[in-house]
Amino acid sequence: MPSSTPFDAMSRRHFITTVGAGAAVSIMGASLARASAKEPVLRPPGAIDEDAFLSLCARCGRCIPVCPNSALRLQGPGNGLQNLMTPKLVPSKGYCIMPVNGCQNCIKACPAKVLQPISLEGLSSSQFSSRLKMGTASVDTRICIPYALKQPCLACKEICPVEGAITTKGGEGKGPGATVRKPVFNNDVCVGCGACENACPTTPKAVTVSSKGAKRTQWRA
Amino acid sequence: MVDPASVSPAVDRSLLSGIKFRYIRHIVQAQILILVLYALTNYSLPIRLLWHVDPLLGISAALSGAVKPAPLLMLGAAMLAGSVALGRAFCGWICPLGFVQDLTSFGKRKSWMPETLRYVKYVILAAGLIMPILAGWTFLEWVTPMSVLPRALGPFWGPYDSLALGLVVFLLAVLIAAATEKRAWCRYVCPLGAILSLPASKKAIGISVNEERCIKCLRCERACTMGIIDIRGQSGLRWDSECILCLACRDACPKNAIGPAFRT
Repeated sequence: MPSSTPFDAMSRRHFITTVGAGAAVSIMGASLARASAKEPVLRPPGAIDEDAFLSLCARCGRCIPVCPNSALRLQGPGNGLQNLMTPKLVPSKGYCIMPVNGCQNCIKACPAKVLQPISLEGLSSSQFSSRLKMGTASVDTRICIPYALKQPCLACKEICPVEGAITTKGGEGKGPGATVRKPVFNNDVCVGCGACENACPTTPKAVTVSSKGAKRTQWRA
Repeated sequence: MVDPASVSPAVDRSLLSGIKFRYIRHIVQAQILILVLYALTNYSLPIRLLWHVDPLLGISAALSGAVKPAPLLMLGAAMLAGSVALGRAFCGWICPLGFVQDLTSFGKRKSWMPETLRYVKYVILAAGLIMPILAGWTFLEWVTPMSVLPRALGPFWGPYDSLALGLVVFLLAVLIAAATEKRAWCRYVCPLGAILSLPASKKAIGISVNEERCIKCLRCERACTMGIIDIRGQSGLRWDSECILCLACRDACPKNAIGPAFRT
């Protein structure tokens, strides 16, 4: 007959051994997690603040296949155990098209709601930028073609969906003495969608997007 | 302890006596799996609840201290309360990872892995509940079955990289393990199954054996998905709290001697 004692076959000795083994494993795991290197990750749009994100993200990967631009990947090993299998935006693979058409597929798919909905209606352009901000683009002038080679290239400015995020300087004069137009990145306007990094023709990319300055929201169920 | 004589007869000549529960169960499971698969491309499908009833999500988030996930904790508590009534029925009837393992669990062989391995999932659960406190690392999200399956199946619809390949290989390993030992993941690894089986020791509905009818043919032992029936032992079920109420034993019994019954 079925017994009604807790764990049935699990005696008190077994229970204590189990919890003890669990504690030992957790102390090892916790020290590993603390020791493993952790760089800031460029998150998908609408991400809640990082500590809450790491504790609530279900690591289910549902945001990955719903992205129409294949911009998201799961974080692989090598960037901290806490970050492993959390989603990240990889601009070199694809960029977030939310500033273009208001796509919120990953936000709608997220079961834990660590990606919070962003309402885009009736915003001024400055509100738009601060509401959406996932990160900030910056240019490495040692690699960037107009800066380093003095050759014309404005691939980043041509694709940038946010007006005023990339402006230009130079381009004065005509004929042999003319200077080329160089891209200038305006951190306050940039939303960090990654379109510029995606379009940048150099290897390695002269334009990179980091999570710096990202606007992170509060978690709401 | 339940007195053998006082146990109400297991499902007898009722309306359901001719029905194989396996088919009913597989239809329910398949619908959940189709929902989960469909949701991999259809972002707007409201299947969020499936993740929210997973108590591990809210508990590990609450333990890490970064958020106050009260709504998640309430749904998780409801789920745990449900397992006081039905034990690990979630595993048997709803869990999509359980279903894909059922699909590869052929045959009626008995279990061959050492029984001690069953404690591994409790070790994983205990470690996963302590690590959020020590390091803010919600380790359980890696191993909760509600995340393991969509994470490994996503790459078939979306972009593919080396981590995705690793996750697919991991899922294949789970399925191959299930082919050699029925539901090996649920028996030995799953922390969700572990936490659901804690209140299940006091569950209201469980499998009971009618010893007068039982002819000790051991068909239920071979059919048992979780390998927990020990019909010749002191208690009919050796690991009663891990029963997933799949009712394979009831389907297999030629004498209607085993089946679900209210515990008194």
